[in-house]
Amino acid sequence: MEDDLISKKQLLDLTGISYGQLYRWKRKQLIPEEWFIRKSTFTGQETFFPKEMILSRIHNIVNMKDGLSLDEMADKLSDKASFEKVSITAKEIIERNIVSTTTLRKFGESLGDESKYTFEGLVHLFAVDRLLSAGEMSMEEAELLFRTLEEKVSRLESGSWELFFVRKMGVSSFILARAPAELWFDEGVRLVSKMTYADLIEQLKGKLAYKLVE
Amino acid sequence: MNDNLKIIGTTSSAGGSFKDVKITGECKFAGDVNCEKLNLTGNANIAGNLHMKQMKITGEIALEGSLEGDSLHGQGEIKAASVKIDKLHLYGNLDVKGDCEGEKLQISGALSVAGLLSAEHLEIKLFGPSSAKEVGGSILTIKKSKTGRLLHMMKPTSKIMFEAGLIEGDAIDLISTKASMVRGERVIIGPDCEIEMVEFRDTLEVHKHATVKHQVKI
Repeated sequence: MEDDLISKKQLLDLTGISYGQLYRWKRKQLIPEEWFIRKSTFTGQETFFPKEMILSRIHNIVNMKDGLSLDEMADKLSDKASFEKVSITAKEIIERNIVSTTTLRKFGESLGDESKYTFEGLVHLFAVDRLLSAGEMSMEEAELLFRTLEEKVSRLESGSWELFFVRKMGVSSFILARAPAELWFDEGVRLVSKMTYADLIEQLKGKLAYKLVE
Repeated sequence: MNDNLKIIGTTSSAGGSFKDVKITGECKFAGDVNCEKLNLTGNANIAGNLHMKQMKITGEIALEGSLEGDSLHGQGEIKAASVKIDKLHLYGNLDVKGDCEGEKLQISGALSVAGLLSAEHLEIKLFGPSSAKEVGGSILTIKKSKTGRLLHMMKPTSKIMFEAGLIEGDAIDLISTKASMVRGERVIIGPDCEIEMVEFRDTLEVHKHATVKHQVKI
């Protein structure tokens, strides 16, 4: 868990933003309250953030900044609905490097009519693509994962989920759980990868933000 | 369009949505109040939230819920569970049980914020003991008010201090402040400050009548 967090100080160093900006974005709810995680350290209380989410969110804010006011941006970023309306063509996916050509060719067809992809469909493709391109999963496993996502995600009422990809003695399986989930496995199980829906959409939002600004 | 509400004397109201609200005297609201303008001379008590665009106060207002709006200025005392006002200019006392947020907060008097005090531009002129759990923003200034010094001469009490756990900002200028941690780009620690730890990026000035136990440039 520790690796997934970044301290406020590291965050400012890494992104080059100032305290003022961070607090301003917090006040404007560009950065959700839940992302401010308080922990005691030897220097006292410190604030930490979920690393991947905050980094891509800050990237989004910085890149969207020119065209929009902070209030407009807050609306757009917090509003998943505006992203759900986005549809994107296969060509754009490849051009923008959102999903690799291999993944798109293999799974793309089952999703779309006239190669227009919806946000939810894209989330699934994106998840599959991430594991595939990280070399963590074989093509057959990718098929299994994609099918699982397509069939099962809609059954999760809360909308937010986490995916655990585990292997034991060469046999792989996917576990889809409602977020936040904590799972414990027996010793023989290796957790190959874990993904959260929140994380995925945050990254996708970053890649799709240009759609909203246009 | 909503109606205006005008109260003179002592009244109670259920609350609701109004255009302009004018209170001269005392009023108790049993529920949330929404309005464009609120003009208060006297006392108001709201058992809920208050949402307004513009507010002027001479007197006291106590809310059980949150106080939100674009601008507020006046003299007196404000008590609320949380405050979110773009421009706040108050002479008097501000007492907040949760967070207090704004773009430009100017307070002359005393304040106590149990949560986060956050503003783009914060200016406090101290003349009463004040505290906040955390302070964060861009430009943060704490000064001693002249009135405070005068009061102090007439009735010498113990030193008036601003106490905070953590203060973080871009430009920080403090006086009479007691804090465990101050983090900023440009930090000025003025007279009568007691700071455990200062972390600064650009510059740090420490007044000779201030104590800073540890300082680190990062």
